[in-house]
Amino acid sequence: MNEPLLIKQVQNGDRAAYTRLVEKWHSKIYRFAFRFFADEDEAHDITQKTFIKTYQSVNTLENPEKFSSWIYRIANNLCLDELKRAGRRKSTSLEAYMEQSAVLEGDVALPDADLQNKELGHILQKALLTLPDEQRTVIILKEYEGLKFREIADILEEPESTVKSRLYYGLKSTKRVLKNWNIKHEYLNNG
Amino acid sequence: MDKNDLQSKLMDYLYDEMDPDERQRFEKTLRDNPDLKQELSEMRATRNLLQEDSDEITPKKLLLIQPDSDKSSSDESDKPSGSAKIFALKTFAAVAAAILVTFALLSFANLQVTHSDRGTLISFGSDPQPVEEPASTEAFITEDEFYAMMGELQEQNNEVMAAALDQSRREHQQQMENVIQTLTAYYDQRRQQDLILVSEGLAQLEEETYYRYLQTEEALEDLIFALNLQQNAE
Repeated sequence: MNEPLLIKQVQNGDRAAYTRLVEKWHSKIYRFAFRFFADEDEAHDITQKTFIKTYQSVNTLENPEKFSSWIYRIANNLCLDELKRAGRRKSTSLEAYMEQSAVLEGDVALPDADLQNKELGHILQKALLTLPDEQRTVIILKEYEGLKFREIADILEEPESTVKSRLYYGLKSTKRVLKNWNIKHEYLNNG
Repeated sequence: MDKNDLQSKLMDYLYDEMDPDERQRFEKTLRDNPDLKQELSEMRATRNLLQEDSDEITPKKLLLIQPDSDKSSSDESDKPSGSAKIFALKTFAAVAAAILVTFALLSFANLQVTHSDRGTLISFGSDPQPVEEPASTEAFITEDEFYAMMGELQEQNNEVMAAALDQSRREHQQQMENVIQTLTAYYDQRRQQDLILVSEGLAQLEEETYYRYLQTEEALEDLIFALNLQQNAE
């Protein structure tokens, strides 16, 4: 079933349609929130709140074709609200993380490639946390959710040029952060 | 082409969102600008690195996917909710268990209840033995003995009371010491936590200021680069 029709059914009070909608979007919203906070519990909370908010205000959505942008916007706003509420303490600095993680020290050998990749995944998540929120959001939506610039601009209600500029500086900052910590020089230098 | 245009086109090219004609023109610009080409290469490398974190992220199961009760039909709202049913069941089970435990205890203690003309006698253990009446008045004590015994009892009571008061005073003192120790530890912990929070806040601020500084520096570099590019083009 196509999404706009599903949304119309939800707007008409069809509970089964709402459940299908949740099943369809659950993992996407969780993934987005997880990349935003690098924390499973936060991601879970944001996902729950997003679907509650979606259910409460789905009737205000005039154009069901725009549901994708609408739900991502809700999730992003909830993430930003949560950061404000928590006084930004949730964004751990990369430095603090590195101090805790001896694995990242250059002279420590990792037992195998899988573990190394897993650790790299954690570092990348933490590196994203060091970016300004607006750059992090754009990187997540573009790099991990694979959205078009037009779609991201629609979600953030900003011009496409602003989105591209945030992505440009976001990528540069990410590279700088990772390079500062000597992470995967072979990737950064020989891409 | 100004700096913003260049950045915008670089992003379009990097994420393959250019039409073919525009793509050809930009590739020519790239060939003419080794610095721009290098920048593109670095951006690609960063993208590749970000894609390293492409592990499947499995969400936890949602707890609240059912809609609120405000849309539920009236017949459904009349029925007790799941939690109310569980509560009623738990209460019933608790009452039943309490009754069972009471019977078990009474049975274990061998409760005896007997009734006679002199009243009702309740006892635990074996059957109650009849109380023997005194054999003769000689068994009674004299008045002097009675007062002596009372005096002795009074003395014993005084000693017991004094010991109890002393014990109570010591316990009270110990409790006060424990409370003071707990409070001291609590305030010390709070102070440590506050210090950590202040320290984290300062570190965060320092970090953000540093990145803003770097961004400004980068923007200036880009500006100079664009100006040079423009001059070269002229």
